[in-house]
Amino acid sequence: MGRCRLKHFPVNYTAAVIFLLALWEITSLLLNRPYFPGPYASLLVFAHEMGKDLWAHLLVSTARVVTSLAAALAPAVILGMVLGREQRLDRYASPLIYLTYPVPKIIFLPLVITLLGLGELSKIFLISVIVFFQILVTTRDASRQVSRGMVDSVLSLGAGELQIYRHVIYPACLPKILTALRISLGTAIAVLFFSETIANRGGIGGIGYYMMEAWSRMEWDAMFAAIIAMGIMGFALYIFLEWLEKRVCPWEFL
Amino acid sequence: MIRVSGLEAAYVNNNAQVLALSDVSFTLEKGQTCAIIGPSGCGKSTLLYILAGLLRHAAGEVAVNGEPVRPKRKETALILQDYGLLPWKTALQNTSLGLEIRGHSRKEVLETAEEAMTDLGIWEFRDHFPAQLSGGQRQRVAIARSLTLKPDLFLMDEPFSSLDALTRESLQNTLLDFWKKKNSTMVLVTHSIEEAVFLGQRIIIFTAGPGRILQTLENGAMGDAGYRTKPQFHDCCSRVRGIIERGL
Repeated sequence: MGRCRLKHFPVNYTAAVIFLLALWEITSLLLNRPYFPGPYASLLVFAHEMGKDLWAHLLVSTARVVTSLAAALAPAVILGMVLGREQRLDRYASPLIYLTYPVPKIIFLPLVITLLGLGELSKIFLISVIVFFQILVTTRDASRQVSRGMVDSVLSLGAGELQIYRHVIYPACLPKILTALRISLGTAIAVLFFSETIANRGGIGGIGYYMMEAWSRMEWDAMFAAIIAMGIMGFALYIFLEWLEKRVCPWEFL
Repeated sequence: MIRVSGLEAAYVNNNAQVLALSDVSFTLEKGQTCAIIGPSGCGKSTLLYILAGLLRHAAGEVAVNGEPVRPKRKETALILQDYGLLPWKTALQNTSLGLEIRGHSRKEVLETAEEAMTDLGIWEFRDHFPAQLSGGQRQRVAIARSLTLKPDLFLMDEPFSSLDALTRESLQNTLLDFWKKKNSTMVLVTHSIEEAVFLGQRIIIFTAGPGRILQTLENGAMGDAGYRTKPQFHDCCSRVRGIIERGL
């Protein structure tokens, strides 16, 4: 997977931002419709709306994504590492994963809402389940690929099974786990948006809810403010994960 | 130190049992070195893994220091060709790993690691990751790591085969120095005749798989770095080469 690194941030990223804004402006000018305002107008509204209650929606949505990712991470990583190392267990788990992984779990949204209600639990549960599978499969495959020789050499130093996980399996899987997390982030935000538009109780319902409200009232500027907010959330989380990877996997960036 | 008698070992390949070693017997006294050489696939690495307690054997007896071989014997050090170091740990963390795993105090771990790394001339590279080290430096870290455990038995599986000739000779000299200083027992699996003759007091030559002992040579003249240039060295190399060629 090609990775956009922040190393060239000042020049390349500024150019990219200018390019995208220009594209937006041109599209808006060409379309010349009220429902497609240009970047300048949208950013003004975004700043204005953030001063009212958009920030609260943004905060709620971000909290949901972060909570869901965090909730899925630990069980997926632990199970993935164990299945990758214990082939006997994996023989039973593999068919289960194989059959359930490709099922688009978003189709269970109505069922999940019926079971868990319109509150936080249904959204977080659904996002977690989807992300769980992505991280699980990646971690298991990474854990399988850990070289036998590396494990043997640490075993020969007297390591127990837990120490093998701590010193060999976990660090070997870590870069792949973080990549999975970055890919899952996009999925998580998409599922979040969808579930916020369907499952909400009004009030501070999150960006998805905010956007649907703006759309239904034909408040196009507010709708674009929400698009900007969602984009900023995704970008900020992505940058955070990239920073985290540099922080915890320094050997990957030599 | 090592007593092997009637050893037989098999591994599974494509659901079929393949005999790797058959009727292998030899003994090695404390403080002796022994080089094991033979064609690839002769089971010499299998033998090393059995001595390290990482593989189980099918038949025969294997004793290390008078006791039946068992996994995780604390005084056995295993040095492999490539896989020994963990890429996510710095040279110092890699060197410290053995003591850390055995639960020694932080201070003790650090002091011992510093001593071993200084001995091997790699202390200045302590904060480098393996990917930032040359092949020779990496193998020095692997050796430093085993030295921290104060082993009485060194098991080495083609430890220098991926190094260039000059680095290899310098590491062979280092190893010889350590052997003379610490008087530990060494078993070295190699496919280099010169390495076997330079480092092995006894040279055990294996047949192609299933591995059997073809011949054992005593190589009493080894023991100093100048041996490489002496006529006895070349004579011994020729003898080993002759035996291998005739055996195939």
